[in-house]
Order: sequence, then structure tokens, then C-alpha cells
Amino acid sequence: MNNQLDTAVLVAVLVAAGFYLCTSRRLLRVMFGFFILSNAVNLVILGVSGDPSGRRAPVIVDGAAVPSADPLPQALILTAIVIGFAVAAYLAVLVYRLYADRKVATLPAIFEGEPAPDSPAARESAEDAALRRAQREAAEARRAATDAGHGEGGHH
Amino acid sequence: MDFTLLVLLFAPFVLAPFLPALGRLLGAKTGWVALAAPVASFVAAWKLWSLPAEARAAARIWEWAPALGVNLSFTTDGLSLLYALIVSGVGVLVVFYAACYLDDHHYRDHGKFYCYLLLFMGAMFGTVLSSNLLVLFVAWEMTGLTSFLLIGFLHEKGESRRGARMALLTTGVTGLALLVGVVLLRAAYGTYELSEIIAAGGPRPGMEGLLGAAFVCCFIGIAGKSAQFPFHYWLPNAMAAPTPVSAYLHSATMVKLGVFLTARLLPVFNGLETWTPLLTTVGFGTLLLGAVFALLSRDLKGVLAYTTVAQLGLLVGYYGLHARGVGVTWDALHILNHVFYKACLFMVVGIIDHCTGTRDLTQLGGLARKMPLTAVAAALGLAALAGLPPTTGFLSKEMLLKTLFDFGAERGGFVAAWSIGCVVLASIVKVTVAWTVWRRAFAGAPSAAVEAHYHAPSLALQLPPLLLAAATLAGGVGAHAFGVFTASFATPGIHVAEAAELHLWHGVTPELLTSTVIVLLGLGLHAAVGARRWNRAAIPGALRLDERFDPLVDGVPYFGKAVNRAFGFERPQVALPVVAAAGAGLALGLLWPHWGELTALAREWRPWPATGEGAWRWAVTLLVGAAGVAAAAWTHPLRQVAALCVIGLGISLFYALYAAPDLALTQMLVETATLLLMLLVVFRFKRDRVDREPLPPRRRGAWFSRATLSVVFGALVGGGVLVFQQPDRPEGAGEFYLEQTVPLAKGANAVNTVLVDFRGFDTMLEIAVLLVAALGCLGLLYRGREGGWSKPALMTSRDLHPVPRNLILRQVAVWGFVPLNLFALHLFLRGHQAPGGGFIAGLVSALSLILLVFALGVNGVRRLLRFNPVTVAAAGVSLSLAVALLPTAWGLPVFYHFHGYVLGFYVGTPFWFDLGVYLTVIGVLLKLILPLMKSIHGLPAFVAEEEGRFAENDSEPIDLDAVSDAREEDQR
Repeated sequence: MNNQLDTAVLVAVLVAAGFYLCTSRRLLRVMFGFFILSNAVNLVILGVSGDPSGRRAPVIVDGAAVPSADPLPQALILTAIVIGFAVAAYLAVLVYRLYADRKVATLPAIFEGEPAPDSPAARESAEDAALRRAQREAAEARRAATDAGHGEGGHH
Repeated sequence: MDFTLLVLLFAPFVLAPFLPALGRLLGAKTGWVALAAPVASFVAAWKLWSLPAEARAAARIWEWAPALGVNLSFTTDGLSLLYALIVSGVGVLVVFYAACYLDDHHYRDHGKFYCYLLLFMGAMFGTVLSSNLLVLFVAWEMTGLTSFLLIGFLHEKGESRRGARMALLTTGVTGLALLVGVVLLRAAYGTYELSEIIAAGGPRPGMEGLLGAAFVCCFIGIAGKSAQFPFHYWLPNAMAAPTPVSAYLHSATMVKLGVFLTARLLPVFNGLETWTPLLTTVGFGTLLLGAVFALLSRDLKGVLAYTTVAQLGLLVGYYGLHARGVGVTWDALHILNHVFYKACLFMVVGIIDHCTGTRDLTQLGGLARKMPLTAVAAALGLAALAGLPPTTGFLSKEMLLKTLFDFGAERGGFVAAWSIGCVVLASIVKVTVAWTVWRRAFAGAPSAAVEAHYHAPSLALQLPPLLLAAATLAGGVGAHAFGVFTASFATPGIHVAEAAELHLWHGVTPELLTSTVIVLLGLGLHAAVGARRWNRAAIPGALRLDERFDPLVDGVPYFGKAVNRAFGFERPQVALPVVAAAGAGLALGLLWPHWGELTALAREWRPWPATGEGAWRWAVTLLVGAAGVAAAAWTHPLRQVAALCVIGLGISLFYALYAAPDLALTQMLVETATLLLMLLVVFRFKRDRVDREPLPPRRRGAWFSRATLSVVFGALVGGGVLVFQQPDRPEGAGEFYLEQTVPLAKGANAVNTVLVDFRGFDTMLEIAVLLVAALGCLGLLYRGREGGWSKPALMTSRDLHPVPRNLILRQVAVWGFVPLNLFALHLFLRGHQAPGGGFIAGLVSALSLILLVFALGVNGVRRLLRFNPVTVAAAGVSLSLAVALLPTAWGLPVFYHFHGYVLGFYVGTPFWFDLGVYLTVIGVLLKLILPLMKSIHGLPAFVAEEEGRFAENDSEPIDLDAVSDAREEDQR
């Protein structure tokens, strides 16, 4: 019936490898994983587009009606490759920038907080606590202000 | 006729766009220009009203989206014209008042203010005139949006922002309920046209149940807009708006929309059992609540806001008294009465605020002596509020009591008792409110606070409230004429055909006696409490829903964050496996019942290649698969990049074996560029040795569960490739493209013609994505550069060498430049006929330039180029867009193609479109790679300087969870 077992195996291996890398904690490995995944997804589109055996590239030669591969999935994949590049490039720059800004290259350093007390994560939770306190106070101040019925301002 | 309607509807919309520009020229005088729109609309509305009833009642339809049943259909029946006259008439007075009130000293952005005001006015006309429910809904939401802009106009002040947000969220969210109601009505009647709905008499068979649900949904919308309990909290907070806005939106127009819609939908819903109980309970309950809150408020605007809430409750409840078969009378009287006195009082409060700098009742006093004219207006307005003769307020109260007593006599029971009780109690409280305000603000000797700040108001400023006050008086004195006037707005289906006559003196009736008792009790209540105790009055905290509102709204993101934190979902390394496992579990669960079919399918798979190509594909599969496993297993990043190279190029080979030469070429070049980028990042990481930074230990065996999940996930996706197979023959679209590529697109390469001709729109969006990604990277790379960083002086053409000065590489780079670009040209030109095209050529050109960096350094290439890559990319996108839009000049569809040849070369529009793609790809690639090359490699001095620059920004790290504005401002 069909001949795409090779494609399926390739997709399976690449998706597994890409996914494994994406769940890593080092940003570089996540980046690599994303690269592999985006390639694998392109192969999925190709794989489901039909068996290529005995078909020519979708280029018309001398108007002959030879069996050709479907041009539409190919055009879609071409678009996907280029967009995948744009996203991968953005990811690379983001990883670079994250490192340049915060000197972090791993996810635990970003999300769990290093032992250092001034790490971003530690700062964040301290901020939250301060914020709730400030909000409570602001609400009380507002209540007092509405009751006093201030003028519109500017007319004093 | 149609023209008059168009003037009425669109005069504000036509004028509004010019006002911001005019505002910069004229400042506070912009108001006098803006006055033209309400005057024009008022004249148009008046003209329509003066037509005979038969001539004006018909709906006019301009088809908009007939397939969806959405038409711009408008009706000019009595109800619509009543509101159109109110909106435009009060609009004239308010714009006049605002032109006097908003001076250049205390206010800015007059142009914007009047622009918003006129847009609001236009949206109001749209709502009250529309007879298509969906259009009505759109205009309804437009009033909400524009009122948000107006309430928050003084957005430097926290209370303005808070009030605006509260109003928008409350009316917006309840508006969604109205949308549900409208859609349910459509389901029940099969149309959005109100006239057809009413003419149908009842819902389609089997749909009767929807009507009750539709009514509840619509009522939620009504209650939100008209500030009915429990949505009453937003109106007092919306008082943070400049006073002209309050006078317009919150007395006469926007808050009346709920009342308007109640009347509009009355013929549809008043046959329901729930109609009377729901409207009277909520409406009259809100009336009493609002009146009591008004009594307890200290802010004059708060008093007015709560009396408005009360009056709106009264009107909503009033319609509730008219179940099926009972024609409405005198609703126009109640509405106009409220419009007159409430807009008047708001303007009076504005004048008080303007002249004394405060609206606090505990500070004010003795204003009657200071500003006698204003005091006259205030006295008349307050008299109408209290329902004293000879104002319209008295007439309104008499007629209301009469209706109520009739209702009570006819119906009895809890509903009648509740209605009469609420109205009588609220009337008593309103008398007390009016008298208290008069006593505390106007009577007696001027207070110290007034003496300290007072300056006299101008006559012009006092004119609009005086006019409105005169209207309440004239309406009361000329009761008969006023009655005839209000009766002229009677609408078939809603009102009784022949209304009774209206007189100031009806003789000694039960209503008159009740009124007398009400006034006496009201005055008695004031005296009983005593002057000093009023100063301590406050609304009980439990009933101040606005205090609950902000924590509730702010609590949503906190709740989400707390949940995320509880599950550890803030960290992608935790969230991703869970999501993947859930997805895999779902897929397995769905596949399980089809296990038999799947195994049958599996027996048909041919594991071994039948052709030579198949054998090659298996070879590539093994190679790339091995590289994939290696990439996952290795930990050294450079080795991993090497494995990625094998994957990328192997897949390119795979594409070639799949009869896809265009893909193979593109893949090869794109992989080169991607890997170059990744390599740059890897080098930087290796330079600082962060790639082997120690990590906290994982749970033992964690890698095994990760690997298992990965394998399952991979197997599912791979299995999907086998299960979801297209038929082998290209069918449908693909076959069409193959057949038509030469005849229609004049190109033999079907993939290229699909990209640049058949499906040019996809490509258009794709290059837009490229450009957006490049701009995003630009933002990331240049962030913080504006602040204090200047170009270092030591940059020369030989400054930045990413590699050791390798003579061979440099020679190859320089000498390869011209042939490479000739090759790119070749690829570009032949793209239409053979594998190639704009993408591929662009990649080759960009890579040739990047290769040049190895010889000349980044700055050398920059200097050589003399153009900004982003400009090139933007020019490319613009070119493609221009080519796409060109056919519209001849009335042809977008992306229509023209073919042409010059010297045997194809130069049709797809050629130019492809050129745009080519330029975009070059620009984006250079923009992405050059800065990163410069940042990552180069002189140690550059790196040190760059690190210093980033270190400056350490105080402002990249936001991972974006901190909302609200949080920041609260912190301040």
C-alpha cells in the first residue's frame, strides 16, 4: 500500500531525540531540540503527502504528463522551513541575550533561583510580597480618598 | 428622508477624525468647532420627529452582510427619536458647557476629548436607531469603549484609571451576556431584525424555551449598562471623569441605554412570566438602594451618581409594571424629567467644583449667596429630584404613583407591595437628599473652605444648567403641552395609542396625598438626624462592591500564578513533560478502540524498499536517525552541532530523494544559516565555559522517564505519518496546480508558481513573519543601547575577526563572492521554470555576504554594503505587498497576475513578487547574523565593552512574567 515506513521511522527517531533535548535543562540543548523538532515536523508533512516512488519532481518538462509529486505540500514545507529558520534564529538570539543579561544558561538558574540571594527568582517572590502589601495599603488609601470626595483636581 | 437620517447618524463620525489635529491648533476653542456635530444631528432628529408618524416609522436597510443576516437597518420610530433628540439635544448643551468648562490652564488634549465625545455620540445614535440587534450590540459596545476613553480621560490620576477600568469591564462583560441574548433571539426567531422578530409574534416552534434564557441574558446586559444592582458600583466610580462627561454619559445618555433596550425589547419579552417579577424586583430595589446611598454620600458627584442609579432603577422597574397587554404610558415623561434635572445638577456640581475646588458636602456651604444664578438652577433641579411642584419631577412622581396604584389594584401580591413600598420609601429619601444638599451646600453663610478658594463662574458656563432648569419648570407649568409632547413619542407595540391628558393639578387624589406625606416625612427625616450627624454618614463597607471589584480583577492573575506555582508549571522543564504526557495519553486513548484497524493497516506496510530510491531513503534514515540519537546522547555542544549538521544535510538529501529539489536546495541553505547562528551562540557559551556549568542533581532515573516519554511521543508522531496518509495520487488542489502551472502561471516549476502566484498570500505572510522575527531579534540585540552607549572608537575594518586570520579562507571568501552571486542570479531567474526562486537565491546571496565577513570583518562588510539590512527587508516586503495590491488599481482581485517577457526573460508580476521575497530574505538573514557575529566574537575590548553595557541593564532584567502596568503603578 504505501512505502513510507522509512519516513515514519525517521520522524519517530527525530521527534524522540528533539523532545528529549527540549526537556533538558540547558538552554543550548533546548535550542538544539527545537531545531530537530522543526525539521521532524516538516518531514511529517512530507511523509503524509504520498509515496514518491516512481514520481518526478513537480516540474513540467515538455508538457509531458508524467506522474509528479504533489507540489502543494512541498510549497507548504518550503514556507515552513523558512519560518522555522526565523523562529530558530529568534530562539538563538534569545538564548544569547538571556545569557548576556543574566548570565544564566540553564533553566533552574532562571526559574528556581540560584543559592545566591539576589537571583531573579528570589527577587521576584520578595517583590510579590511587597506588592500585595502595597496593594492593600493603596486600597485603604483609596477608600479614604473616595469618602473625602476630592475635587477633580486642577481647580484648587 | 434618507439624507436626514444619514446626517443624524454620521455627523459626529464625520467630524470626529479632524478634531485631534484641530485640537493642537485651537486648544480649548476646539469645543466650538465640535458643537457643529450635535447641532446638525439635533436639527436632523427634529426634522425626522416633525414628520408624520406613518412616514418615519418604516425601517431603512442598507445591506451589509446579508448572508449573516447583519444589515445596517435603522428605524426612526418614537422611541428611537426620543433618544436621538435627548442625545443630540443634551449633546449640544454639554459640548457648549465643556467648551466653557475645559480651559487651557487645567486641561490638555482638547482635540482628543471632543473626538472621543463625538465618537461616543455617534455610537449612541447607532444604538438607539438601529433595528438590527447585532448592529445594535456593536454600537452598544462602542459606547462602552468610547466611554472608557472619556472616563479615563484624566488618565494621570489613579482614580480615573480605576473608574474607567471598572466601567469598561463591568459594561463590557455584561455586554457579552447581551450578545448571548441576541444570538439566542436569532436562534429562536431566525433573524436579527427586530421588526421581523416583533412581527413574528412568537418564537419558532420548539424554540420557546430559548426566549426565557434570552431575556435573562439581555437583562444582564441591561443591568450592567444601567448600573442596576448588583452592577451599581461602577457608576459612582465613573465620576472620576471630567464633569461634562458625567453630565452627558451618566445622566442623560449611556446609562439610559439599558432603559432604552428594556423598552426596545418590551414587545419581545413582556409576555414572559418572569418579566414583571425580575424587572420590578431588581429595578425598584435598585431605586431604594441608590436613594439610600445618595443620602450617605459626602461627595456631591457621588450623591448625583447614586440618585442616577436610583432613577435608572425606577425606569427599569417601571417597564416591569407593563406585562403583555398593558400599554406603556408616560415613560417619555419620566425619562425627559430625569434628563432635564440630572444633567442640570451635574453641570451645577461642575460649576461648584470649578469655583470652589471641592465637592465635599462637609466643606461646602452658603453657595446661594455666592452664585445666585447657579443656585436658582440647583434649586429647580433639586425640586425636580424631590418631586416638588411645579416641576416636571412632580408630574413624573404623580404619574408614577398613579401607575403603581393602578398596578397594585389590578395585580396585588408581593410584587405590587414591593414596588409601591420601594418607590414610596425611595421618594421620601430623595426628598431628604434634595433638602440635605440644599441645606449643606447652598443655604446659610459661606463656609471657610468656600471663602478661601472661591472665584465667580462665567455666565456662559451657567447658561446650559439654567436652560435645563428652565425646561423642568416649563414642563411642569405647561403640563398639558408637555404631556402632548411626550405622547408624540408613542411607539406602536410599546405604548398605548391614546394617552390621557397631563395636568399639574388633578384635584385631590390619592397620589397627591401620598406626595404630601412623602415630602413631610422626607423633611422630617432630615430634621430627625440633625445637621452634625450628616457629616459622619458613610455607606456601609459591606455594600461597597467596588471595594471588592479591584481585588477580584487583580486576583485573577495572582490565582493563575499561584496555581502555576503549586504545580511547578512556571518551569518549562516541568510543564513540558506533563503536557506531552497528557497529549500522548489522549492520543493513545483515542487510538485504543481502533487497535484492530491499526494492526490490519500495519500488515500492509512494506518494510523493505521496492525501488533503488527506497533503499537510498533507508540509508539516509539510518544515518540521520543515528545522528539524532547522538545529538540527544552527547553532552558536548560542538559535537551536538556536528550531529545537527548531519541531520540537516541528511534531511536535505531525503528531500531530494522525495522528488522535491526545491526543498532540498532550501533546506541545505537554511540549515547552513541556522547552524551558523547556533554555532555563534555555542562559541560564546564555550568561551565563558558556561556550557558545562554544574546543575543541581536530578532525581535518580529521571533521564529514563524522560527518554521513555520521548520514545512514546516520537512513536505516536511517527505512527501518525503512517496512519494519516494522503492518497498516492495528487488530487484536488495539487493536481490543479500541476495542470495549470504552465497555462495559467507561465512557469514549469509548480512549487515556485504555487509560492509566488497561486498561493502568493501565504508567501506574503511568511516573509512578514521573517521580518517580524528579524525585528524581534533586533530588539533583543540592541536593547539598552540607546542609554549611554556610544560607538567605541577603535573599530576599524580589521577589528573583528571571528576566525584566526586564515589566508585560504579569506581568499575563498573574496573570490567566491562574485560566482556565488551569479549563481544566485541564475537560481532566481530560472526559479519559475526549474528548481530555484527567490528564497533560495536570497539565501545564497546572504550567505555569500556572510562569508565575506570572514575576510573583511563585520564592520568592513557593513561599510561595503552601505545599506541597512532591515531597510532592505522592509523594502522587500513592501515590494511584494505593492505587487500584490497592484491589480486592485484595475479592479482585479489582490494577487492577480500579469505576465510579460523582456528579451525572453519572464518579467510578470510574480517575478517582482519573488524579487521582494529575495530582498526580504537577504535583509533578514544579514540582520540576524551580522550583529550576533559582532557581539559574540571580536576583540576582547569589544566583549568587555559589551558586557559592561549589559551589566548596566542588570537592574532591569528581561521580563519572564510580564509585570502588568497596574502592578507597577500600585508599587509606586
